Amino acid sequence: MTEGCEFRDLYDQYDALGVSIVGVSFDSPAENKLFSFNNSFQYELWTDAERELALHYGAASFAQQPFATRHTVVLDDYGRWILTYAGVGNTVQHPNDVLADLTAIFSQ
Amino acid sequence: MCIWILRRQLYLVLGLWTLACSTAPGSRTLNNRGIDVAGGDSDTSVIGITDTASTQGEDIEPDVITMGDSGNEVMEADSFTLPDDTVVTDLNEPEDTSPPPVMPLPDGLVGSLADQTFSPGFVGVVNQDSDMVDPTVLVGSWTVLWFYPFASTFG
Repeated sequence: MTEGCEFRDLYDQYDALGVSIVGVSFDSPAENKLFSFNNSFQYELWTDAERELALHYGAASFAQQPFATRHTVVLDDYGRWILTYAGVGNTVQHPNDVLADLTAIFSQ
Repeated sequence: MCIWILRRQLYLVLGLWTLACSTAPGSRTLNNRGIDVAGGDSDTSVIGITDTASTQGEDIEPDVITMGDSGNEVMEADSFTLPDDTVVTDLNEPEDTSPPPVMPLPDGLVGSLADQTFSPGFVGVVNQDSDMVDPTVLVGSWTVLWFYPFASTFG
């Protein structure tokens, strides 16, 4: 089970909170399209070829980094960077942790 | 008969005067009523109304209306009411477009609190269909961006 599939399986619960999910890598759009098709992702996969997002949010530490660090950020509805999950280890648990954090934020 | 001739001459004078004034600077026209209003620099204006009845042989007095040059009568007639849901903004006051402060976050979150900076104005991001991604899509709803090293990798 990949991290992407776990986000896929929790998609409805994220959607119920009004939260969008986007996967980001340096892969080509064709590679991402195949990845999305093979796993039936409901959300978009973005190609950050110039590392614009990765450098800003900490998923890359230099512009020539060949691949993104496994890393997640949460933005609020104004596009503000609210939460960071650096160095994601347990990729199955991670999407559940993010969902739990968002549920706690919205239910307070 | 004499009165009738005088009346027609009065019409002619008024008509010529109205025509002359309507081409002068400051003249105004109320087309929605079919009434020509002649203004100008004088204190009063004359409104000429076409007397169609007299051409049909009826003996009626011509309608000559005078009004002040300020045009208040016209303004009252042409005033309108805004709908109740119309938002009237004072253009002299700058609109506050700054976002509200971030809501207080609960304790015990797994994620680390970030510095609340805004997303960069990226230009080279495309989706899996090779469509350019507009940075504004990150505004309007909360978003989870999860970065992964390679497509199709496990773990």
